[in-house]
Amino acid sequence: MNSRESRPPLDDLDARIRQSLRAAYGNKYPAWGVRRQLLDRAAEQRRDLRKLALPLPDWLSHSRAARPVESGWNHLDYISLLSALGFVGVTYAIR
Amino acid sequence: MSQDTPLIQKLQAGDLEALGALYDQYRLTVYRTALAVTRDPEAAEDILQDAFLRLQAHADQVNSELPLAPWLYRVTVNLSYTWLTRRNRWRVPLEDFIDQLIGPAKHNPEPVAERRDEQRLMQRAIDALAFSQRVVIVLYYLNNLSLQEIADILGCPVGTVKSRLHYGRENLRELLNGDAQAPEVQYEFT
Repeated sequence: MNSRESRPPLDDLDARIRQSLRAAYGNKYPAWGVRRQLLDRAAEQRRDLRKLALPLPDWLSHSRAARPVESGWNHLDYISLLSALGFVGVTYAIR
Repeated sequence: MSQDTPLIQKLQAGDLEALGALYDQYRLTVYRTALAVTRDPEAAEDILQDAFLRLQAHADQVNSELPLAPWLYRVTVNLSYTWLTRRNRWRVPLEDFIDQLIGPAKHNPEPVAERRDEQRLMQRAIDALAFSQRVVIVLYYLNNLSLQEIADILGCPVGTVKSRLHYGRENLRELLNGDAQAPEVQYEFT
């Protein structure tokens, strides 16, 4: 008996694999609700992306050194000043 | 220009209806591929949604002149791989634990009729393949893609796809022959 007789020919295995996979999955469908859910999530995702893509205020879009002089003090300047004062205060209290 | 070009361009412009239309066109391709790889209908639906959400999130990076199917296949394969990796991380220890509890029951012979169920045997054999071989088998036999198309999707040379298909087929042959001759068959606890 040669090997061809003892084993099914390659084409037969090919056909078996193809047939089995198609029989198992060829008639399967996702649930109807998936489309609605997807579009809801997509709309939500779009809103989130828009929020992330909001343009930066002018004063933040420049480096500190390059920030226009005429913009005056902004809240970051005040935060820096308060931090510095706090540091000095804590240092003084410890001593 | 491909048939998907107008819809992709609309999607890039922010049209949600275009996403719905692309979903209608490709949902079965994505869902059945994910289902064949993961064998979990809920996971396949999650992967289906995630694939189209990624399409929306990365629409500006998709080349509207090219067909969308290869892009979707690639995302589906990647998401399926991620899902399987996460599932196996939790499932394997649990299965070991169950094995310890039930012990010999696992080795009870299955009914002969069940063993002869071609589809079941084939599915079990495909499940036993390594992920890289399983994906190639699914894309080639279920989705009827060419070796070149599969290579493009997986981002590897055609020779690699040929090799995976060859070894996948040989492993299936061995597994199927083994299943047909083996006196004992393992039960699945999934």
